[in-house]
Amino acid sequence: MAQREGPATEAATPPTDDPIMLEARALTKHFPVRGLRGRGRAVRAVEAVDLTLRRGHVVALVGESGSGKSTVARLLAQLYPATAGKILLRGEPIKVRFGRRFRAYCRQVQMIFQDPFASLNPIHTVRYVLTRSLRIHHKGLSKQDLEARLSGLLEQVHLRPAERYLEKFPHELSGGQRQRVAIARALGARPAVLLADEPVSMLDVSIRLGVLNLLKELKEELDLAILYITHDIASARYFADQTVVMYAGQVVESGDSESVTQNPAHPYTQLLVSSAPDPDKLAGADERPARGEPPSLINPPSGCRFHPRCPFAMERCKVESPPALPAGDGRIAACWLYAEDAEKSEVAA
Amino acid sequence: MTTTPTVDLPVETGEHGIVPKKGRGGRGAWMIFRNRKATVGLCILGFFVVLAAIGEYIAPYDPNKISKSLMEGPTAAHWLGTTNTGQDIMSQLIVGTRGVLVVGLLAAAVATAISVLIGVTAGFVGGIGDEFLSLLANVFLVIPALPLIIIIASQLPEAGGTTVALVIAFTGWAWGSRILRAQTLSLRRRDFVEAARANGESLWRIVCFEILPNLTAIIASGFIGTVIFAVLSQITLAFIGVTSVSTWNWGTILFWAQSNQALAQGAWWWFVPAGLCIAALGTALTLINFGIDEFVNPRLRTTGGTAKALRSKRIQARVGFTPVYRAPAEKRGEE
Amino acid sequence: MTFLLRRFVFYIVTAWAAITLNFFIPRMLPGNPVQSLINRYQGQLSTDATQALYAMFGLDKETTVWQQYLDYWGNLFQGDFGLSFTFFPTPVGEVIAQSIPWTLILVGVSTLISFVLGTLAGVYIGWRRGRWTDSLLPIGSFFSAIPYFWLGLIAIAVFAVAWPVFPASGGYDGAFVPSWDADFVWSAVYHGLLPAITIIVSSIAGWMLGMRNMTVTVSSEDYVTVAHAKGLKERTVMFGYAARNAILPNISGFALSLGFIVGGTLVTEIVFSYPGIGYILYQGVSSKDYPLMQGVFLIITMSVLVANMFADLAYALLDPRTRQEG
Repeated sequence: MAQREGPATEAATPPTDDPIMLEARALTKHFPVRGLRGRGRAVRAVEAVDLTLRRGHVVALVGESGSGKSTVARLLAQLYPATAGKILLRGEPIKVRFGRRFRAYCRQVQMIFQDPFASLNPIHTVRYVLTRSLRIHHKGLSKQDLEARLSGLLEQVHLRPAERYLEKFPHELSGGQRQRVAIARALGARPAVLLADEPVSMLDVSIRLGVLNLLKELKEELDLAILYITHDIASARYFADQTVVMYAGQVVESGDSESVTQNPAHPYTQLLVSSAPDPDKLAGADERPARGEPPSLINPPSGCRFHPRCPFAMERCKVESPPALPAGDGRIAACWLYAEDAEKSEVAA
Repeated sequence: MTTTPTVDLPVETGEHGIVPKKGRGGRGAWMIFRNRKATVGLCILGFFVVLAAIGEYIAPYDPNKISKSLMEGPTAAHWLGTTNTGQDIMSQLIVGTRGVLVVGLLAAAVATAISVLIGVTAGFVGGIGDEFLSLLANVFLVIPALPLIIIIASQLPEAGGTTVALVIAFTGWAWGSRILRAQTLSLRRRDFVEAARANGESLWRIVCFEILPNLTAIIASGFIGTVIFAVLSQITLAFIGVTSVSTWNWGTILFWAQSNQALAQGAWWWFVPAGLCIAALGTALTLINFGIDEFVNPRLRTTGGTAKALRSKRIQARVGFTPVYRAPAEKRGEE
Repeated sequence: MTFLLRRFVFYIVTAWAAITLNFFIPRMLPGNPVQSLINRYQGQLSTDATQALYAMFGLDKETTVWQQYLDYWGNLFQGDFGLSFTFFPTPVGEVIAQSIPWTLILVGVSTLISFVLGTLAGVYIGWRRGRWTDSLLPIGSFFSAIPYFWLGLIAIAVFAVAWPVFPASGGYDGAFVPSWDADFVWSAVYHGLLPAITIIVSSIAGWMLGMRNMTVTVSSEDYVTVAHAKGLKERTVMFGYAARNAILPNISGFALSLGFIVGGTLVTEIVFSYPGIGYILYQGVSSKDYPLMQGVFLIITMSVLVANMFADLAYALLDPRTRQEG
């Protein structure tokens, strides 16, 4: 339990102190369906997502595969153009696609990919990968500076001694080492924001903690704002200050990690938490078993997208889409179950 | 300390990604020599390249020189016999090598450049641009190349080596471009391309340094294939007399042999050596391509040696990589 | 059926491209196309032929290129390819019509035989690796590297000159008049055998190698291993599982290489003086009979397109995915 105290105390500090680095407002992405039959139809991958990344804070974005969480990361990295909504960097709305302005944006916002076996080009050495990152973002580095920076980057991600790794090809490194190289590449730009798209899900369980601890350490050291995308809600509790839960392209719940994971408000989050293996509650199946599958994003269900699977579904859920409603402790849940509370508090006010 | 890493590293495009092998012997382009087929092919090709370079100096006679020994079979003076005007056929063959190789390589170089440009662009941009470029390549693939080359070449004021090479390149780029497009399409969606973009790499650097090096083997194999196509087309053109018959290449020799009734007179020495040279060059290039193919797709490596070894232990390597053991008794019972 | 529809549209576009290319090639070259042709003839061209040339290019009257283009299409639809110089004043259409059946039968039949035999051999070699059949690979690559016409020359030298069992040239015995009686048909078959064998021998290796490589790749797939593990008969696994999947790329390869192969077979006809379209093309080339060459090019392209459509149909029948797509 002593281990868990760290994030818990951090989460207790009010988040408003630190400046907002990157913010998404009503971010939406629809992918057009290709082919003759798909004309006019779209995959509604991300629907009106709000996110706030603060300096020195980790926000976890949790959801199952296909919930649109990776798309959110790519939208924030400006790799895809958003269909609607805004991205604000240090409060300024920014929309870039190519060229110098894109590079300037990259210098601030870097991304780490899920699969370290795929995200490093097999034909380039570690030296090439890191040199490019440094050369792109820091023009006119002298040779000595470059060498110093290269070993600095590798040391920062705990690949020591640096000389041993510089001339290696990706296939000569283990999964954890590759992911560290990928992190070093991102750090080469000296970013303010790090978007980590399931950075540990492709790694062996035994080395996941090492990489997560490294990210945590880097966050402290460099005062980074980190978006941590994962399908593992337990790691979100361990690593993140805030947790945002996504389902079928929409945010269903957000709040500080400790309370979201310990006392989930939204039925979907409850489902997620109960399906995560917990050493404290080894015995006993859940009283409300999980059923159904994530819906089609081409024709999402009417009303609340979770209603076909929700054990508490009401008539209202099939018709109306729930707005973000306060669910106590500064948390927000998009669920009609909290509508009464909200109305009550309105009446009280 | 090395400054920049080389990009011409061995590339192995399997299904699961591209894994350059290191630590198992050589590295880089020299890896190809570990393949016996490719080595044989490269040696034969090297022989012809040397011949093309120094042909004029080592040819025993002037290929155009008329002598008194008419229509002679192979003799000590004329190793491969003479024509009906007493020209030395071996000299014609040696001097003609350069024309064959220069046109073949030039055509293949131009065609490969076009196919890389169109194929990689189509694969990378996608959408409407891709549809259009793919259509263009498919149209050129389906239109029969040789008749097209003939009608273009026969209308040109003078059809010299360079012109012929360009015409062949114009009609022969489509195959390579089709394969490159397919491969680029699959590379473009790979994470490392996305990662390079997220890191801030510019578009042309992604194409030139992230995607193109991964296509090296395919480009090389397309190049070799186009050389074969160009050599055959050019010799055919010379044989039917579309191109200039005054400069020597192997097709010209066959043209003169055919128009002087060498066949009916049984002058086999006039047309057999040229054909054998074409076949040898073609085989050499095919073998090099086999080498590249097996390099790219390890499944194709002839497991002949292993299969033989297995069979001596009564194990049959029939299905894929699953050796099937058959006991002698069982075998007898089956039959 | 979206697949076949898409392909059909593609063939229409290709036909349009070939026809338009045919129209523009002479006009893109420097100078007046007719004048440059007349120069190439160095005065051997009769005034009638010159007149016909001007008429063909639409240069006898003052017209725009666009008008010429429309006229060209109009003529094409009436089957009018202009007048041949070599067989002046026979229309090109007629010359081609006489020769096309010969080519269709010779090239069509031998290409089909070569494809079927080569594919079967390829399956066998790929399936039984490590046997004597493996030695067919280098032999095959040697044969595929030989130009068709040279193999034809050798065939004539051996089987018609040195050891005269086959006729050296022609499509039938000159004593007959083309008709459908038994003697003539026998004579035509007899004359066609040697060129057909030449075409088969030189093109079979390509199919064999392609199919062998596909079979080797496919036979290491899991579904083949599973089929084998189920205890299915060797033959069933070989044809029902491995070959069935391996043949699909070979069929699309067939469609795409057809243009290339047809070029080679045309030259074979030249060597054998076979009265087909290739020989007509040769006569056109050697007498610089420009309208004839263009007509032949168009006819060959159209035939290849039709053959491609058949290949697509076969593909659609063999691959369930193309059927479901629509």
